[in-house]
Amino acid sequence: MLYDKPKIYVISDAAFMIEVADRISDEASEAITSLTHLLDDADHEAIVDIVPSYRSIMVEYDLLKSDAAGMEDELARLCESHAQRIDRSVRLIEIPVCYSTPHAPDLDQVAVLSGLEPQEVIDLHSEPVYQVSAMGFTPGFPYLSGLDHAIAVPRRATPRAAVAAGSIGIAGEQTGIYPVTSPGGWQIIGRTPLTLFDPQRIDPFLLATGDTVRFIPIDDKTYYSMGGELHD
Amino acid sequence: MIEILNGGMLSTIQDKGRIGYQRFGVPVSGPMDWYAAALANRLVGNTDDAPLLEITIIGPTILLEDSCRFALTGAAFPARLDGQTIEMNTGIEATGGNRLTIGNATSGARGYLAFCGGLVVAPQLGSVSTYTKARLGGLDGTALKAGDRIALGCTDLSHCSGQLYPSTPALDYSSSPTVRIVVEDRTDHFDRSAIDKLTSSSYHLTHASDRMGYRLEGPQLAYSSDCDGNIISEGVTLGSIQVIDRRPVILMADHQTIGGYAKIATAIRADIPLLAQLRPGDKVRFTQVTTEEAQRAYLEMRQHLEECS
Repeated sequence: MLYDKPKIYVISDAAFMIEVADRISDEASEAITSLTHLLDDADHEAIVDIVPSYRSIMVEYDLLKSDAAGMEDELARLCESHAQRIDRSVRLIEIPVCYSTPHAPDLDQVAVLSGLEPQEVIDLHSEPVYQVSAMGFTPGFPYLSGLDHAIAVPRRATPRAAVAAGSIGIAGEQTGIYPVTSPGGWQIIGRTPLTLFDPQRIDPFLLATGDTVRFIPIDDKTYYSMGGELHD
Repeated sequence: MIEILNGGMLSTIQDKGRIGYQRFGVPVSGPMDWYAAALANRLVGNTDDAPLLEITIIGPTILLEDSCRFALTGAAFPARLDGQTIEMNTGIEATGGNRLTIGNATSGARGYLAFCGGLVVAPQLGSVSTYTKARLGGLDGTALKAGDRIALGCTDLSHCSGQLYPSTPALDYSSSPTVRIVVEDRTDHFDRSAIDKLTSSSYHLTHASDRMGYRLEGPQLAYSSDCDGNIISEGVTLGSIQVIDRRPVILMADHQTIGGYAKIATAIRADIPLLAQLRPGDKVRFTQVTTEEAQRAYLEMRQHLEECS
């Protein structure tokens, strides 16, 4: 449930946590997204960095430019102004996914665990509009909420030493995309030819917290024609 | 240019760090000991955040191809320039073609080697700081190794500034420091007894300690009755003390950006340098201070830096 007004906690001598709700929900995500935009737009000289996630925003500030009391007042004032605000539109990003072997090593296992056919898993996974609730783990890794409960399966008992960049995984109620090849324990059911993180690109990250995402099934041929790779 | 003849244990290029990308999951990085790094830079007339080398326990050997002015700060590293012992915490001039040999730290863990004009390296995501896990920054996202060459911002001694006499650092490093913490002003994850346990016990660093964070071993910290140790993932910050499996983990320079473990407290900015100098096996105690006390301590250290140059 959303709080009547955000709670502001001290978490260090140089950071506050702004918490908007007591649990994960679509309303909490929307509030986080619009509050993030508001803090970005405010461009406050003492705010060094902000880290939005499911139901809170961490704010790091510069002790040479503000102190705890001053910063808390400023954050409270900004949150207050947020109450009257109408938010901008949300981005929807379509991500093509090849759900077939060899890009989907755990698809059969997810189907067995869910009591479904593999094609049903694909249908359920590519149906919803997901929300990027947080990013973390590795640069550009989006935690997407909105997964159909029927295919919410636990992560693999043994993590893989290397999950290929672009792999789409499921872990519990969440789905996500590995931006770079890294160790990982999520159940891999497909792979996108898109590059989620490229530090050389003008826009290094394909996604940001607050974006919405839909997965578009593509076949093998399309995957390779879009620049998809077989291995890492 | 300088050429690395031997990289030592872990020598990396660092600057202020990647600010503004934590929301995309990119750690800040930057020097573990912000104070020693800033001091090294100031001693050679640089801004606090100019690109420099962070060295770890076993120092590197470096060929200084051109004339340059440099300074070494942080942990107690014996160092020689063409065989002559040199002092730490002062600017030193080299005329070019010199071999700088930095030995094994006799105490502490991390040293900083700054050059007048800074190291000239192309930034990635706004920073040259090396983050090896995602191969960001540095020369190729990895620690420095033999054969690596790095350009210097200034190779003309007549343009160098800073100071050529030793400075006294504002803090005493120790292998058993007491680190000041601020306790989160939210009480639902731990009872007061857990905070009392944390601040009345001695912990030691395990080998599972690196630039990302330190895993501590010592008396267990109980979660409150309505917390199982997990929380809804949220932002974590430098010095955050997570409690994983009832044991404290302190998040350091390369820490992840969000975390789902309950946090009990945060080490204050002023004492991060003390933590940066610890090695596995070293002991640490914690004492609680107010946010105001923590901020005052930080400002005093900044003031001391101002007086150094």
